[in-house]
Amino acid sequence: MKIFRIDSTIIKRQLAIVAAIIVMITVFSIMSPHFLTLRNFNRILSNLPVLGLVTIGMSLVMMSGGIDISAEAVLGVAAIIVGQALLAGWPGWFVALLGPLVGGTLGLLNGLVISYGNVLPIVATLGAMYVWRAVIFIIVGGSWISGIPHTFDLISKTDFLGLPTPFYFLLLFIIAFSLIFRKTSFGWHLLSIGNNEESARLAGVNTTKIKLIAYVLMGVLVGIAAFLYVGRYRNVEMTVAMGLSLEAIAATVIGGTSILGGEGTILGCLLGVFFVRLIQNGLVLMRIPSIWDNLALGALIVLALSFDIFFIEGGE
Amino acid sequence: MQKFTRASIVAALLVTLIIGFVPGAAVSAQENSDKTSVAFIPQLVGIPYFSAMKKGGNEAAKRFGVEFIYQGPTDVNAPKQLQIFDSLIKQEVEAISLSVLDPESICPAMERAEKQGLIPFTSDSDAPNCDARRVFIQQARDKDLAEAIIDGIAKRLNSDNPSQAEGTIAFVSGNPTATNLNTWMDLMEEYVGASFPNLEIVARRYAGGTSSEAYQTAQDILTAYPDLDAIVGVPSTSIPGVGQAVADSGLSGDGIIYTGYGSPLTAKDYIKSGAMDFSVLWNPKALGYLTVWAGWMMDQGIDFTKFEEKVDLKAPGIESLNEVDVQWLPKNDTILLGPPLVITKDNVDNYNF
Repeated sequence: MKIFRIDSTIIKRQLAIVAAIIVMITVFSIMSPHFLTLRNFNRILSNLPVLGLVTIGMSLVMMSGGIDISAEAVLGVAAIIVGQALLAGWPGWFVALLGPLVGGTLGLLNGLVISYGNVLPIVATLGAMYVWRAVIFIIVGGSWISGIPHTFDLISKTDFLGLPTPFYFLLLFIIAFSLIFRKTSFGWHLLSIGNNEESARLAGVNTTKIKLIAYVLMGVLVGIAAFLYVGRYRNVEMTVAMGLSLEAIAATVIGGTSILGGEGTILGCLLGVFFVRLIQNGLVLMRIPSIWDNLALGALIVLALSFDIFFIEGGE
Repeated sequence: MQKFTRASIVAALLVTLIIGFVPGAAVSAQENSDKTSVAFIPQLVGIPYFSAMKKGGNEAAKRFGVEFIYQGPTDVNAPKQLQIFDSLIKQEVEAISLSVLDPESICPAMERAEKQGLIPFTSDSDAPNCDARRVFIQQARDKDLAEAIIDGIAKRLNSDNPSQAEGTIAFVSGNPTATNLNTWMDLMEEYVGASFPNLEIVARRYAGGTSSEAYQTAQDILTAYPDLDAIVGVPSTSIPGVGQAVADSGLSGDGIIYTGYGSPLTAKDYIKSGAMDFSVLWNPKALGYLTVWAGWMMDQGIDFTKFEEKVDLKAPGIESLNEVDVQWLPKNDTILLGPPLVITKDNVDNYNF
């Protein structure tokens, strides 16, 4: 029962992250009177969805042994189209569909190059990132898309039952993708490709098709994130979403997905994203000088992940 | 005030020179096609900032009967800038200016231009260590830019006696590696320390270069410092994110003073909605105008570098603008456009960059 063993390893890893989160919450609460408040947690949750959706997609491709460096640039291109369409006064429901449509198309391109062109995912998506960044630069240049109308305020800025509305979006996608992952053969196939692509193919898995689907789904999720990004920040700048791919990769790994592929869970995405945003929030609230931000983030990630190795070693 | 009188005399002389030259230059330019050519190479074409400089340059060219050449790279690319510079030398353009991308690599080209009797100079971004560079046309001094932000905050906190203004200020910057942003923040801190005993800068956070990071950082700052009086979006990339966070936290209007270095187009939405109180920058159109004027003046044989003291200059055509007060600064051979442009609800619609 190989899968069972992997699952329990992941659970241990995720328990380690949960423990780390509890420790952090305790420390932050002691250090700042403003940390453990409804208002602050509402704000943390409201900042999860964009990164969260990208992280779900990143988990899918990383479980198959792939990666997508281009996610942030794809988000940028989709955000430009969504932003321009809103400025032009197109109906909201149609614009909301445009995001995933554009993202899905660009994801399909990545998928085709990777699965049919047999190009290494890191190479293909790195190339794609440069191409789409250049496109963003050519279109936006120094004239950012600013003053975008408040069309999506209802979705991106309101609360529902005490929680930020966009957070429900994230929950919905986490649940949906968890179900797809557990109840259909797609999840199995993805993991088996990540474990050993050749043997998966010999076992009858259509590896080309599965990988293609993973990158298309990644694109669609990034496109939805783009729609939330524009709705929330009402601005598309030349540097839109810069650095988001790396953040998503970090959140994916923290969430328990192996960087080598072959193991992972969708639920872990939520943990990983929460972990990253919690640190970022806590550092500001503890009034730690900003120059330490990245150092603290990096150190805590390494610490949490070595914690996890310690856990696993101890368990076996 | 001895210096002042001496400067005034020189300035008066200059004005006479200019007035004397204008009709002659305009007429001779119409009579033969042998107009003076002044070129400006931006860092990048197609972005509103440099397009505004181009527009100003065109206006000056029309007024002074100059041929204005505007040519630049389509991406931020120092070697391409150098190529364009060299091609302008071959065309024997009399005065060649540029917004420098790489101060090292452009220097030999400037020396070549000087040897051919052409006038190389810089505008917007300088190459201060290059001897061949005749003058630098500067948009605004960092110190003035820093003080404009703090003065604006102090005035809004205590309109009767700004120097006694009381309050806390937080900075949302971009990347920690951006030296110009760090300079501005250092100067703001220095100014607060020296002149405002009751103002305090409580946070300086680096938010990276995106709206979402600036938004999240601003939100967290507003949570960490619930009584904050003013928040400054230092780079233009922070302007929309911080503005959105201020608006979403219900602090538009009297809630908090929000300011920063944002272009009118970027800041417009937030200034109009009341989330942003004022923005500080300079006027790139006037800068382009001044660049062409200076190139033309130098080609007429006026050697600014002869002035050893601060001199008030008059560039006809932009003098009426508030943000224009042209000065010759002998230190670093600089022609300064004027004090910073302060953008508020009242004038935000007048600018298109």
